[in-house]
Amino acid sequence: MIEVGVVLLMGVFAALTIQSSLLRLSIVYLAVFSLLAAFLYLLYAAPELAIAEAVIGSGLVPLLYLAALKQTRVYTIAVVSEGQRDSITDRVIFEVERSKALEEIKAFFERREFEVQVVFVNVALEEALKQEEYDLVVERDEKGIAVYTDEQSYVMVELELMFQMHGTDAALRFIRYSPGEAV
Amino acid sequence: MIEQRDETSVQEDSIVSIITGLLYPFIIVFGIYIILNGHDTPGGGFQGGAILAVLFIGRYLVAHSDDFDIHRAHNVEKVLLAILILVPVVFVFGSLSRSYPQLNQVYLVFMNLLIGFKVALGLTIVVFRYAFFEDR
Repeated sequence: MIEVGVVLLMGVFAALTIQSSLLRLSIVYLAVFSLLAAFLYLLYAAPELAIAEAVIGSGLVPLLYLAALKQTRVYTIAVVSEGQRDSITDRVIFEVERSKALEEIKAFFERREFEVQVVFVNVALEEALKQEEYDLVVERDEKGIAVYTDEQSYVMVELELMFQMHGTDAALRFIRYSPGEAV
Repeated sequence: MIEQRDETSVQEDSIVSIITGLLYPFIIVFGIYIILNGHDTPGGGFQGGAILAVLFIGRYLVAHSDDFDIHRAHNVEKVLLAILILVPVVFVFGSLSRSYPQLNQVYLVFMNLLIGFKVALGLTIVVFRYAFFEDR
């Protein structure tokens, strides 16, 4: 009787592993699935196999997948404010972090398995665009948020297309530039 | 006022590293127990070795240490493989098992130890090679 319950639970976790939208969560579900499989082996009187399954299925394999996930890139979005230096205040940070446009940009890159981090930098726009470590530069002014996109990058074209088709925030603008040129 | 996060502070997690630091001794003892007691309880060289490998790999993931010398580990693993082939050849074909039956227990434990360390090193090398030399 208890075997049936364990097998059903294994099915549930297998489905969760496939259906979950976050890869990290999938890894955890897969580990639980392996642990249940180990318990099932124990019920069928195969303790040697149960130990091997528990160690490999919920120890080694998740760690291997996590090491693989670590290889994914961190995507850095730099936010600058219009005007002179030191124009980033708590108010600006508050407004930008709660804006719908930034939410949607972050969601766009998270769907592509990037680790998104947002930094607020207190430099002029031209300096931020020159920095190699910022993958995307966003400028905030009174009219809203301007995204500076590299015209060579197809990911940016996709992002722009997505906002044109079902973007909701009218305050978002896209400005194309080619690296190496003045804006 | 200004939010600035550098990469190290984002990736390091003190809760995880402290808890795994507390767990390390228990994992080592558990792995060695499974290797040493493998001949009469469930477990054995492979399972215990895999537990020890999880320890090394987990240490890499938590502490981001890159002080693990893969080439030295590879050499040690080759030596272990040579001993692993030599010992049964000497023990079985030299008919030591028949002339000294009290050696059987020692032989089993020794072979389990060899297999355990070889599996631990092998699995660790596989994952480390992947983690360090795969293109980012």
